[in-house]
Amino acid sequence: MSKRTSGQRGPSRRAVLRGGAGIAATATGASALAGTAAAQPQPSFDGWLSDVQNYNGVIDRTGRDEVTVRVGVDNGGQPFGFGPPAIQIDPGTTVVWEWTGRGNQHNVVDLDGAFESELASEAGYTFEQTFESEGVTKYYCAPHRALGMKGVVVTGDVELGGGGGQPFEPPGGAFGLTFMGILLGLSGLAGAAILGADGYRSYGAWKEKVTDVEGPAVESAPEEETVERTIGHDAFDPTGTAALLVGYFLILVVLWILMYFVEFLGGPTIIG
Amino acid sequence: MEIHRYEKAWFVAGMVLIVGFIATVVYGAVGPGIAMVDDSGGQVGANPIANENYDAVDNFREPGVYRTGENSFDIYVVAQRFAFVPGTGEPIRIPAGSEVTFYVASADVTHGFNLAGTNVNVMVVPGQVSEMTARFDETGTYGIICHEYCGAGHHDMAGTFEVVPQSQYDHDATSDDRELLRAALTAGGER
Repeated sequence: MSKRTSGQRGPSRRAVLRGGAGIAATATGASALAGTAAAQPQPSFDGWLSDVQNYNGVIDRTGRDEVTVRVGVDNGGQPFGFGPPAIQIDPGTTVVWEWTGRGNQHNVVDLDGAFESELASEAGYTFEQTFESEGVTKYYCAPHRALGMKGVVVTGDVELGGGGGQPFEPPGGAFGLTFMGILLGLSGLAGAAILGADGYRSYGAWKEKVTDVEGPAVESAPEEETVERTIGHDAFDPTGTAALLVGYFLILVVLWILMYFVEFLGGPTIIG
Repeated sequence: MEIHRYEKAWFVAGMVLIVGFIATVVYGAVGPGIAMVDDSGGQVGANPIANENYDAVDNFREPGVYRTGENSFDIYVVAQRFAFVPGTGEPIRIPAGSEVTFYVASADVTHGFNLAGTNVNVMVVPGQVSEMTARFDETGTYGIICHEYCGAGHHDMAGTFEVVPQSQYDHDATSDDRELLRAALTAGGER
């Protein structure tokens, strides 16, 4: 007769939960790939300005000969921004970047390499560039690019996508997405299968225990091992193991010479 | 105790390796003169570095390359989030066959200073001038890499160190002109 107590129910319940977790992982993997980012209210210039926190629209600076952009203005609480980050100018206009002196060293670097200023930190330092041809120029500050210190100069009457944001396009394209989806799904299924099998085994073990709860535990005696042959201590020659160790030893010596005498002493090294 | 002859051989081989390693390190210190980076650069307040107030400190100068002899240079570098000055904006340039002493200080957090592919490599701890000397006999270009995570732009923190042929080296304006300017200003102030 089998007896159930709440303590004994544990294993099977956990096993069911574990099996379920694998299936849930499969579902999450598939649905995570279906999501898209929300559209932004201003043009993000192919995402160039999507992580620039002080960007809220292209500022119209047309009709002037000279336009000033400040370097080192507040951008999400840190002085790592261009002010304003996006401007629209007429062809032939000179843009003057003026350093505020905040946020240490900054520079102005064209994404396409057309211009690059010196790194400077002092307030009042300026760098200027005249934009003759129509188009969109993306630029950044090299030390703080990762912090969203990026900007855009729109020269002339360029179509900016009518105010709509670029839809989120994950890198890799449709094939990559499908491939990753299948991979995630399969790994989820595999995980579910492994966890499920594990759970089934522990359920079986538990059930057996429950069934046998009244009978005495049967201990199967280990089989007697028979000694086939005895040899003396010095008669045993593990030549295979010895050969393996000699191989390892040679590899070590070669690596030692390469590392110290070629790699370490071969180039400039600290001598004082 | 009975020890198998193979075990004796392995023991001897292992000892040979250990003795060999120690001998190699001793040779490196005595022969090529490999040195450790120590605290000989001295301490420096973080504020003068961050505020570019280099006149206020004795053991650090305005960042740049200073010629101290025919073939010897002192290079002062400030590491800050996320640039080496000089190094990132303009490459550091020296002629081949020079002995260079680097003095590196941080303006903010802990950085690293490593000439990629060499063991010219040091941590740049705020408050400490990291000093090290190396010889550059052959021409080449090395990347300067920050290898201590210093913030969101850490992966962009890199610079360039160029060893150019003697004939192409022209000790440019950066340091000498500043020295002359400073001398002139000091003279003017005293007058």
